[in-house]
Amino acid sequence: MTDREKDLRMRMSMLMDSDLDGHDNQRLIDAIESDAELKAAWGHYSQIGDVIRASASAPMPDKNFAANISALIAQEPTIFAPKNVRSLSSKRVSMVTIGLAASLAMVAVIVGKSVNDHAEVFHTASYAQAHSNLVAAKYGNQVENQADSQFNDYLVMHNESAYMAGSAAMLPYVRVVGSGPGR
Amino acid sequence: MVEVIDEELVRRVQKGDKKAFDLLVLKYQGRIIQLINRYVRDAHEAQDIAQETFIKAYRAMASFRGDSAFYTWIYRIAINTAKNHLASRSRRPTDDDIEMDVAEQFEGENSLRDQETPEGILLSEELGRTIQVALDELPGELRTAITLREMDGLSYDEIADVMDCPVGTVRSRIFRAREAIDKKIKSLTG
Repeated sequence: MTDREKDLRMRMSMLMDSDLDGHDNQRLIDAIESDAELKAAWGHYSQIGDVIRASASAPMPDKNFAANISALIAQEPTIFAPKNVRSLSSKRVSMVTIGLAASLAMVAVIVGKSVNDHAEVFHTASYAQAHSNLVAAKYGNQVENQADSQFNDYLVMHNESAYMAGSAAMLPYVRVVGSGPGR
Repeated sequence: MVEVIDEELVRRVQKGDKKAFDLLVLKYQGRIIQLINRYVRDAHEAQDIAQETFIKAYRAMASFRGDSAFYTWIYRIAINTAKNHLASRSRRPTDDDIEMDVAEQFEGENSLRDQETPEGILLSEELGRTIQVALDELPGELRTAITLREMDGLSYDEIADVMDCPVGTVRSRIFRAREAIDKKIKSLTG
């Protein structure tokens, strides 16, 4: 056995025990896959471990067991799995996180808007009431006062529900202008 | 201990390298057969189920995500295959009932069994004995090092602590132990 062969086999022994630096693994595995003697030694090293772990009566694999499976696998279609399944699952986790964040942001916008709209409603209601009082004082007309009050109710309700349809709330001056007499 | 080498071999298989699967078979064939033998007390059947296990594992490799260790995953496949085998055995027709077309299907399954000659079985038993004898003949330090590694699953660092020697010495002792036993195996198998 040459020094190089001895070195290869020693590193294979370390590789089997996960004691080899990851950088060296690739070339060594290539060598084991392509060198029949190294491959046989890989099998023997594994069998040594099996015998040490096994009870005396435990069966050993048939001499050709691995070769038979290799022949069967050769007939199977070659596997081309995704390059890194772990990174895929971590990407999936990231997407879920982004989705959750987006949902939370959407909820925050809607709730915030709703609160603002309600604040507007109070403002609008008092404004409409003041306007109604002004109209009543000016005209003293029961019918007109009633119609104006109904229209103001409509405006308040509309303002309350406008955000649900995604439209902006009305500006107060629109209501003032809209509820005036003769318009 | 994390089996880094298994992760690497699995990655290679998933990239289309079938030879990497050979190394996984060589590494785990003994353990899988011993595991199956707990369910099926027949050496022939154990080997057949082990073969089915490895084929199933290969076919499922694309979906193996590495959430568990490879050996845990293949052990699970082996146990399920053995249980299914036991469950279906009562439903299996006897050889006399098998018609010709069905017999052709069975032919492939039995091909491995045909190769398991009495001489072959004798040889594998002899192999086990040879390894055991070679192990007993090893110098004490080499035997301790490889036993701590293979039986107790200690890392090189842990073995170095136990044996109170540098890690480099542990590497060398384990390698020398394997080489000494391998030499006896080669003289047996020719």
